[in-house]
Amino acid sequence: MTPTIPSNVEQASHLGANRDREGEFVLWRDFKPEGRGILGLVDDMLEHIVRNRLRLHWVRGGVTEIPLEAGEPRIYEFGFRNSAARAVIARLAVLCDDETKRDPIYPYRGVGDFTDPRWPNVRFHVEFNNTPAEQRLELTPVFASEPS
Amino acid sequence: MVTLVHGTTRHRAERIIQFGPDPRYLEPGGVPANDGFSMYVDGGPYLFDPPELYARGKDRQCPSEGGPVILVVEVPESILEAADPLGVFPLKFGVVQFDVGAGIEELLKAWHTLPKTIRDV
Repeated sequence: MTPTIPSNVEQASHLGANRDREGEFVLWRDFKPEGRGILGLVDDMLEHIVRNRLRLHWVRGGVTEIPLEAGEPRIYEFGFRNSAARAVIARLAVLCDDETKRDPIYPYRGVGDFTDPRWPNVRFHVEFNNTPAEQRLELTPVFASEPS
Repeated sequence: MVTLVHGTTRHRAERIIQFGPDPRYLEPGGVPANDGFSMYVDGGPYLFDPPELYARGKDRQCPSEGGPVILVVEVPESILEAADPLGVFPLKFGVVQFDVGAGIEELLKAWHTLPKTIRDV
């Protein structure tokens, strides 16, 4: 079954999405820059969604993790200033292929894909808006079939 | 002093030079936001797209604002340090993000003393 993508955090809570459990490491809240800054957050975010097979729905203030296979969506507040969220989206935009940059108002809006050499069998599909009026990110890892 | 740049439209750049950056700036048709003010270190590295591309993007969104330009400001390093209290935007990445509570107050206080210019795109 394809998980429903909530249109915003409030709606997600109506869908029964879970909030973070007490005591667990939550990337969106507990990330430590330690010299890696926003690039470290992007790297850790990609690793997180590949390892746990998640898609992300991110709007101002909140990230919803949606399992690709089974399980309920989970909502997390983003614990950093909103400009950091916009920076994450901007970084993903610049990683995307040239097709993304054909949008007339790129880099404020776009749809595209990129790969990360750490996971050559994964294509990351990105849809984003990154204007002062609206910040929205849909990030989906698409897993290629393993070679037999 | 570090030279910082910001891609925008000419009308916005002239307004920023006159009054300083407004972290709550509302774009035409936009909704209230408090996203601070982003700048790059001149010459990069550009962690995101280069400032000229942002300037052109804003020009396409708002074509009656005088065309794309680069706002150039010389900023003391002490103000840059105030802009990144948590290390999310290390200066080595070339991005300087001024937010409320993170450097914008220091920037605005010094604004009228800082050398500024507008560069054509």
